[in-house]
Amino acid sequence: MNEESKTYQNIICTFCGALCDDIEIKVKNNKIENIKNACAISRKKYEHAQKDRTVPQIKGKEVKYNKAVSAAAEILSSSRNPLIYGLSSTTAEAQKAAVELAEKCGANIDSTSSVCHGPGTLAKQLVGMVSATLGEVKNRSDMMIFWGANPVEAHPNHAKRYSILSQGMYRKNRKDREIIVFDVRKTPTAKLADHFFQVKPNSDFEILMALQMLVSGRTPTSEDGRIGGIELVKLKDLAEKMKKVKYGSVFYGMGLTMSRGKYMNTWAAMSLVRNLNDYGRFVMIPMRGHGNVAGSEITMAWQTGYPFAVNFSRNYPRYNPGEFSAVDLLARREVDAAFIIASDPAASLPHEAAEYLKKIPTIVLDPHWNLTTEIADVVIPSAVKGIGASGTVYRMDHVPLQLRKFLDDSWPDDASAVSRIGELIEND
Amino acid sequence: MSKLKLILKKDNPSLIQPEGKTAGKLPVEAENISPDITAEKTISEIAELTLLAGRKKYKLKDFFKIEGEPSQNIFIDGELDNFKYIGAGMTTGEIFINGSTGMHTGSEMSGGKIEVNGDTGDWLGAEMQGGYIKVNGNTGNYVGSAFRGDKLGMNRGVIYIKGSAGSFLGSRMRRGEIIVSGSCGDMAGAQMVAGSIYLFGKAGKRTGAAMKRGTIISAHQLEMLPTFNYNISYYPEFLKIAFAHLKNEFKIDIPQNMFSGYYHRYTGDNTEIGKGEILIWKEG
Repeated sequence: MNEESKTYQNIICTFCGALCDDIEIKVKNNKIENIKNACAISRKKYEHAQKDRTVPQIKGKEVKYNKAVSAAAEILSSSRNPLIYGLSSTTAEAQKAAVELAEKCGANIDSTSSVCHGPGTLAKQLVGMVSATLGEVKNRSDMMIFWGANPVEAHPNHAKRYSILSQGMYRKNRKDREIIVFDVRKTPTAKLADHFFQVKPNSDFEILMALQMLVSGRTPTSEDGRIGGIELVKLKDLAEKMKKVKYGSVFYGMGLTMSRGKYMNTWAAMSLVRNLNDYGRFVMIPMRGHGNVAGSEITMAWQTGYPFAVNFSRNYPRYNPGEFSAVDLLARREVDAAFIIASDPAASLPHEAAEYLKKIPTIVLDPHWNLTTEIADVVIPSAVKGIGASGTVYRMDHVPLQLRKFLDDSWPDDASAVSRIGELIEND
Repeated sequence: MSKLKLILKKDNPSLIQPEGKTAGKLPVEAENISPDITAEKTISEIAELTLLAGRKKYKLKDFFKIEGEPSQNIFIDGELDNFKYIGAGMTTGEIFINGSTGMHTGSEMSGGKIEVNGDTGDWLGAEMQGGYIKVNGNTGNYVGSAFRGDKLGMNRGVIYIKGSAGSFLGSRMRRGEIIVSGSCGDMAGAQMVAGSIYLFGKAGKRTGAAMKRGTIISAHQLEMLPTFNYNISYYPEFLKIAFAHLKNEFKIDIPQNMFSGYYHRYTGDNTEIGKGEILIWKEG
């Protein structure tokens, strides 16, 4: 069958948390023919989206889809302390179904947030976060600070669409903005900056605390005139500058949330931003990695009251990162079955935690083969979100966007697979 | 004195055994192991007490061999590192654990004594209101701290750790004393509101970060945050009284050299109200 080619406008790329929504895709015979406006990472993602696709499997043998789904339901219903993990690369609808499933089988549910921006969320609960949408930042922000984040390499279109090089309403171009980068090495983002501050590894906390004091007009103690590898005089100048700007913004990455000090680093940054609002407007936006990792926190929060690391063993939600977070549960060997949704913990979690997955029954729901599908007992395929499946995803600034499908997929989407498992457990 | 003895069975329902081999242990929530509960019940009632392993309810007798008689004095034998909430919320009596325990041991307790002859998990004595906890081994993070979302941690009571402690020791504590003989991790006394922390071993980075009030006494040099000020070197007389009270009432070993020499006094955290003090011992 030879179809006419069709062009889809304003398609959302779900590879990273920036969720660019201006991709143009030409489709012919259910295949992507041409891609426009996509960054290098996104282009690769679209090119490989239909390759390496999973098939339903039980213990390495290919089976019918329904059989894999009922095997998954059986594992979860017979488990005494299951773990549901992943969620960052799926839609809000699937996340909602996953929370419902967790409640039904008394599971621990955690997203990949707990190993990336989770500490930032813990900090948010301690002090609160002044935030804004990327649109507002693009139009108004005259000082942008990137802390432990490198969008040029990790979110390639971020600079052009929302930050450094974007064309805003009141901040027309690069000249209207002052760009400051804090990082442990001179990243490509730092090369675009007006000022680059090289942080001594793991001393973000000291610098942020010192900045808090400088902003309030007091001088922090330093024996050698430096704090965290940066000269105190330079920090003093920066503090004065920060007080004078009209609209400052801080983009923070895992260089802040995951370095020594974890959530206290982000706590210090959030406290600083709070204090700076006494002088002008100052906001903070996390540079989220996976497509819908921001959505995983939002969905969990409106479903359970907590953003990640939630436990349902007592039938009501309990929250405690460190106790109910996936890495800790796996490393302490406390779960007896795992359901991985659209994630690859065997590749991303610490060795000890990933190793334990081999010992317990593991179910993986993912459109592509990865290291975790290798060790899984049950593999359930699904449609690729944003390509073969529609749904809702949240951008890094918590703006929800609606995905449209433009290719037909041979498998149902994540949400229907998870709901089906839930139904099977309920009717058991 | 009468005693209730609980001996952990080797083969208990908490074991995770896919394909016959033990791969791990389910977390067991054992808030029912508390002198307040066992003292009021008969032995057969104690055997029927609920323990939660994962999401399944079990009975105490499934896990333990029960000996002795109902009492406020509980002796537990076995490696209980997956048992949470032992002695949580107790108001009186005594628990002696010959082995390790898991998280939340003695959390929110308001009286009585817990002694652990082994290691404990995180949140030991978190938000405790009174009583005494002694650990002969090491402990995890968040000793005597506040639970997530709460403003204040331990409020009265004494925690004595003979081994080492993890990070966030006494974070957001409001009152009471924590004594660590071994080393401790980062962020000891982070955001503490008041109370005293004695560190006789080495401490990690950022001790006293964002503390409001309270006292941290360290036997070793600390890496001070830029938000602390150096005040003076002196011997604070109150320490002699404090040490004597710990030694006489709780039999805590105080390093002999800390009775002499002098102390560097720092105040902070200056991003907060700056009324916290850190005393660092120096040879005199």
